[in-house]
Amino acid sequence: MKFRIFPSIGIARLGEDTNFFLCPERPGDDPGELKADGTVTPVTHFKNATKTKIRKQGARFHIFESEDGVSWRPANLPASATVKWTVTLENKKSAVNRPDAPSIAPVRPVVPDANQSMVIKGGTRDINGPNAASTPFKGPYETTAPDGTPFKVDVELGQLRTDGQGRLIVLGGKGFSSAPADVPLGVSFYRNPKWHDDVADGPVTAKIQLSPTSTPVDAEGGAWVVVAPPDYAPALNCPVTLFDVLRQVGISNSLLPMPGVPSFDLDIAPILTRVRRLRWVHEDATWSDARLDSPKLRSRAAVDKPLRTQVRGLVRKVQTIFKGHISAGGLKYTLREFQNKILEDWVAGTFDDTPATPSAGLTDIGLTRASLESAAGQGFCPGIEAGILVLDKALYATPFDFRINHSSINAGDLTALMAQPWQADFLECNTEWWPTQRPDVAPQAGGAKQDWIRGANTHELLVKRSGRLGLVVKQGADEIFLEVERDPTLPTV
Amino acid sequence: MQRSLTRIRWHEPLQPGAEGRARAFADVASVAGDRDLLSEMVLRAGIPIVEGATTAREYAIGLLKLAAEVEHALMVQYLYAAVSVPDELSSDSIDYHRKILNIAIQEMGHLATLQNLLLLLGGRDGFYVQRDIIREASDKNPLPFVLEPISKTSLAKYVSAEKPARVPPQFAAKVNELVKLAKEDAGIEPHRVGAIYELLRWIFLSPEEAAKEINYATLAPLPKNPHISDKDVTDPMEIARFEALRTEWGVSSKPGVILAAAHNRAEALAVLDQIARQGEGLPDTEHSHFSQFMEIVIAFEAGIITVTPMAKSPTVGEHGGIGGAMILHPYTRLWGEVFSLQYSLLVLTIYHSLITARPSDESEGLRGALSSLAVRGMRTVITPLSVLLASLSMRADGTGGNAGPPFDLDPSILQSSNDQELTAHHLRMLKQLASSYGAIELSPDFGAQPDHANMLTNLRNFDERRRKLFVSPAPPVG
Repeated sequence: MKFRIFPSIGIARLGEDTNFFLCPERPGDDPGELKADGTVTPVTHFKNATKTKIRKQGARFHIFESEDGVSWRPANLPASATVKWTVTLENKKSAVNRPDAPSIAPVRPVVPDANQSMVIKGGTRDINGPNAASTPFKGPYETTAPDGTPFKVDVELGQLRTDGQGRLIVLGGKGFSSAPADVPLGVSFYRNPKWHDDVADGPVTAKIQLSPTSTPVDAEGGAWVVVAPPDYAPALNCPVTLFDVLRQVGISNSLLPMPGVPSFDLDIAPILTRVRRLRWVHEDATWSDARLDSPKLRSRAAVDKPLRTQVRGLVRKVQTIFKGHISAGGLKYTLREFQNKILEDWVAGTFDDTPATPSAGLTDIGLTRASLESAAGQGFCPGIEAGILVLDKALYATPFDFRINHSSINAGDLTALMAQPWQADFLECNTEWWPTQRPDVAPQAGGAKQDWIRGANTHELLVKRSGRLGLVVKQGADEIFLEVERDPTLPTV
Repeated sequence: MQRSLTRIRWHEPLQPGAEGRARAFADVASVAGDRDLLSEMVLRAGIPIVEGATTAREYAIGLLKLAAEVEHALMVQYLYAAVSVPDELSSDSIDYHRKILNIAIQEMGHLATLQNLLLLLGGRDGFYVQRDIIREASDKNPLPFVLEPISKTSLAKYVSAEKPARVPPQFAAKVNELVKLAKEDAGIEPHRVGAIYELLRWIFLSPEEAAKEINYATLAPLPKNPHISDKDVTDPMEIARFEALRTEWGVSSKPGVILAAAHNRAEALAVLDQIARQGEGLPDTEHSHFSQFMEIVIAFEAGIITVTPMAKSPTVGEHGGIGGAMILHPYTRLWGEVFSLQYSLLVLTIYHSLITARPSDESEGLRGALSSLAVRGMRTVITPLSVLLASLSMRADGTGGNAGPPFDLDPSILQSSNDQELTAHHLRMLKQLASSYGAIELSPDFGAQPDHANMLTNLRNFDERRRKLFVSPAPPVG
């Protein structure tokens, strides 16, 4: 029997509150509340009672088993089995050689010897058994102030937990960013020397021992966890997600097939939904265009082709409206090639309109897809959860199942060249880029929209107040999203 | 406060040549290298004289205002040129639209930096964001304002305006060709823009530094004590309250954009040097505007750049520049009026933000709200409206080709620094916009353009942001 960990890449998120919810685990699902009985229900609150601290998002990892290495199912382990999980977390942002602007091609981060003290080494932790908790991942960040005074601060990068069935949950840090006194913040959206934050990433492995006397078996290839900044619109996904980007890497390198006849419900509707939902976090009237709500979008009839053509045009507008202001050789915001093919087939009417829903249970690809669809795939300037490095096909294990080859990168590498600190990028990237992670506007009851960042509209304020900002959250079963849980004591200007 | 008109006259000293050079360097050792070339450049182009200026401070302020108009005009002309090039990678993997746009954004940085220099010498009342006043009144306009799509002629004018004192040898022949073309088309004399910056730099030299260089005061009727000292500068607390900062103008993400502050004479000198190195005057650097335009010229001549045909200087009435092709198609004209109003409001917003003091607490205040509005407006209003206008016809009969954004600017909205008067301008123009939107919706051409309805929604939403800055919500009834 073979074992693997799914999702192959899990996304945890920072949060000052010790409480946590889970990353989505089925495509189309929202983050989930893990109940004491092991069930997962929709999250009802993303912050603490005083609305001053965001709850962490945990990345939960599952063991799957397979006889043939092709079809995977949730592992049905005997009662005598133990699973020992091991995770390493590091943050290299302040230590790496960092250019003035994000790279436009994949580049491996390099830490000069002289900067080793600025690598935050959270360490390696093991955990096993149900409802366990590890000691926190913690490491020093050491640098000097401009006047040469030594600066040292301990930074917590996260903690391991297990659920009632012994499945791993990786929790991240508190959203703590700092620097020595008199070190400016805001020089750049990308590079603010001597500033650290507490995002992190690193390998996840598991040893499965079916009985006390059996030889432990490694889960093939392990997995990877990224601890990312908070997602302030957790049910709204980017038109191009990290799953789409990795899927295209697989397709472009002949490791995955180009999709065949697309399913309206499973392939086309998710793209349209993501674009339509932009209306809740971005002001452009394109997203509120009534044609995006037409019930005729799932019609294959030739008479509805003009509508499908027009709506494809609306979808493609993400490429101009979110393109941002980049250099002449810089990367553009683009739909992936396979997404364009799906849309092309849809316009042509060659798609499967049979009603379909994602699997009710947890599946291997479903877990990975749900995790990575919650992360931004465009634009990579530098990105939010992970950046352009993910385009490097050498990163991945083969056969390709969105799994990082542990010998291709080290802990901390995926987040090393993201914005330093993450708040610098969040402030600058209004009006464009990633309103689904960092809303431009926040919808209010009654229909008005306010600037989401009001009350934290400088770099320094955003570092101090990021936990007090509101989140844009779905209300009930209807497609209504409102800003909730904003700290009522946060100033409005 | 209403402002008096600054007038510039170009004084042409003795022609360079042995006698002229001897006189210019009579009391100093000959300065080797680039300074020598720059001085030659000034002697050839002429020395700008600020009429009525009797002190170094008055003279510097006059030149800074002229420089500000030049930067404003260049920025707008480059923005127009960028619209004429599709936003896509060409066959050489360069996005030339973005290349030109980035040059325009850098000119915005120059304009903002010049505002900081005007603040340094003139305090809050020194800010100046006009575009056409001084240049049009000057006997030799250093840069006639013409909106045109990219062409060899337009590129010739930009190269001529940005040409360094020392042209790299590999470009010499091509640059001579382009300079000749620019002069024939628009009477542009190369180096006039560079001369403005060289004189500004010279004015900010200390007397000790100036003693090592050419003495322009012996060649032109300059103020008796022609160098700025730290006695001329504004109180540091006033500077701190009003200086333009990178973080408030959305350029911290753009390391290539110069937006620098100056708190004393030496910092002003350093800042002028930065601007000159990037675009005008000093010997070329790899990423200078001159270099970038030469790359564009090469690509254009190789047929790599696709150009969208657009009108030359389209206008709905108040062009402010040379020529001006009236937009006659009724529907296009309405959108042209909308564009010019939004552009005028953008300039007004920038100006209004600059003259509004920064709050002493951590809040953004009206100043921050206006700068955020301006940045948002540049991204979400000016850019898409420019593209829309480039898609519409000049005339109902189809002749005249496609239009383009008119960039008409009414200078009267920038004359006063009184907050109430500026607020009144905002509200008046918002009312005009609302009327224009209504007329667009009633136009028979509106229904055929489904995207235009979305554009109007976006504009109305944006206008509402502006209105909220100045109009308090009505109190609840009862």
